[in-house]
Amino acid sequence: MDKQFVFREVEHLQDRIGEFYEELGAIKVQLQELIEENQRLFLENEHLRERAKFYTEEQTPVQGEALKYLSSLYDDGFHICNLNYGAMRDGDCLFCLQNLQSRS
Amino acid sequence: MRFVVRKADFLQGLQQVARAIPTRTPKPILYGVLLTAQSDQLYITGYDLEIGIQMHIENSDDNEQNIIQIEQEGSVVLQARYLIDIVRKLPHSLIRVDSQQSTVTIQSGTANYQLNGMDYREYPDLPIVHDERGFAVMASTLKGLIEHSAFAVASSEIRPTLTGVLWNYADGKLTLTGTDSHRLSTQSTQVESHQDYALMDSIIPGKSLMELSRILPDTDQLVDILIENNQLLVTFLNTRFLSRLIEGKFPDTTRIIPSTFRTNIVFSTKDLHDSVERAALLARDTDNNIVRFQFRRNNIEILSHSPEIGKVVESIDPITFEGEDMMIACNAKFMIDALRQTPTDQVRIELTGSGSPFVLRPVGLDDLLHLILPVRIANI
Ligand SMILES: [Zn+2]
Repeated sequence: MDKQFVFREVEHLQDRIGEFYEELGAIKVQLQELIEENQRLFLENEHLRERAKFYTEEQTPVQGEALKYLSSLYDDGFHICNLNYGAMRDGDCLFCLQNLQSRS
Repeated sequence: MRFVVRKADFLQGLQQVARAIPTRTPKPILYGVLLTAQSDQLYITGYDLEIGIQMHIENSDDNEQNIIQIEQEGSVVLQARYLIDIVRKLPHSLIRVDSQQSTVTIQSGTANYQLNGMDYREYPDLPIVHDERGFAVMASTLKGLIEHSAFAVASSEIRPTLTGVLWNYADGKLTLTGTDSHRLSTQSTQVESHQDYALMDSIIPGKSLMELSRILPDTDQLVDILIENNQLLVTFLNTRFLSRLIEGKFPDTTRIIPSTFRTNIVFSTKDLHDSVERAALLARDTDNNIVRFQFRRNNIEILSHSPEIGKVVESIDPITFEGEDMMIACNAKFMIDALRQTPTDQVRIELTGSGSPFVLRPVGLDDLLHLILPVRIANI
């Protein structure tokens, strides 16, 4: 058997193992990042849930006031949608109601 | 300019282009139709600065009979209304048009008209849209998309973006949406597009689209569509249709369409349409053209009353009824419009509450939806 050939094969294998190691290292870093992101999103989600519960059960005065202001403005016949906020409306407006709904 | 043209083709071209001739304009030249004889084609153009329609007449290879014969190239502008009336009544199947200086002679059989032409150099150029390919859709499909969405746009100019139809193109799907903020109609279709074709959300005036739908053939022939340089360009057969776009931002409508329902009723589209139309006869004088719907599992009634005239009760049997009883009131016109633009025999009504938007869907056609906001009234 050609000793040179075997040597070259081993050298080649060594190179590939090195590459594998590098890739493995990169994947490990990515995994770490994903775990951290997951943790962050989990916390954020929990926070949002808490806040959502808070809003649906007992709204904070500011939120309640803002909503009350907007709905009274709407009931007085004005648009409160982005499309033309403050303009007189003619009948109910899909976009205003959407706005009120997503805030309440 | 001098040419001989077959009457039928000339008249058809003029009638099509006439949709872009304004009824009132501060620029008198726009009352004219631009005729241009070039190489072996006759171009006919109308342009009211909102929409432009241009069509050309040429001899086809498979037709041995000459449709058009250009004897001398050139251009002239003639009053569209007069020209159309004249051509319609000309006695012979061939027409000779001869323009020398500003006098245009139109001759056919025994008739000989001499009309005062207008200077073609005063006629505005059509917007330039480069003829790159955008996407293609069948003529009848496009006609359907327009008819099912453009009727719902706002008629008042207070909110200009709502007078237009939103064209959204994503993932090979074209979606047209029209809304006047009380109702909304939307339909999508798969289209053939060139790879990497990207279309910005564009708002196209509802009025322009109505005109386009009138001249679109009701066939499966492909229509090329391109939006570029603030213009919509639609090309089919020998016609080019251009429309300006409306600037501004269209409201987000994706969140408005409810995804869950408490009641779901299927009707015969025609029966429901006819019932609402009958009930609406007494609603004409009320504030919002209001009819009331009492959707009860064992008995569905459509009611309307006018204090001075009287009242009406319509009973209608559903095909299926799922969910709880529901009472709503709405503008009869919105309901009738939506049912007219429901192309299937059966329609499904999906409701969530008397104050929430409800949805009409043609049964068996997933990509079309009409949404109506009910009117809130005391003791339905
Ligand atoms: Zn509004």
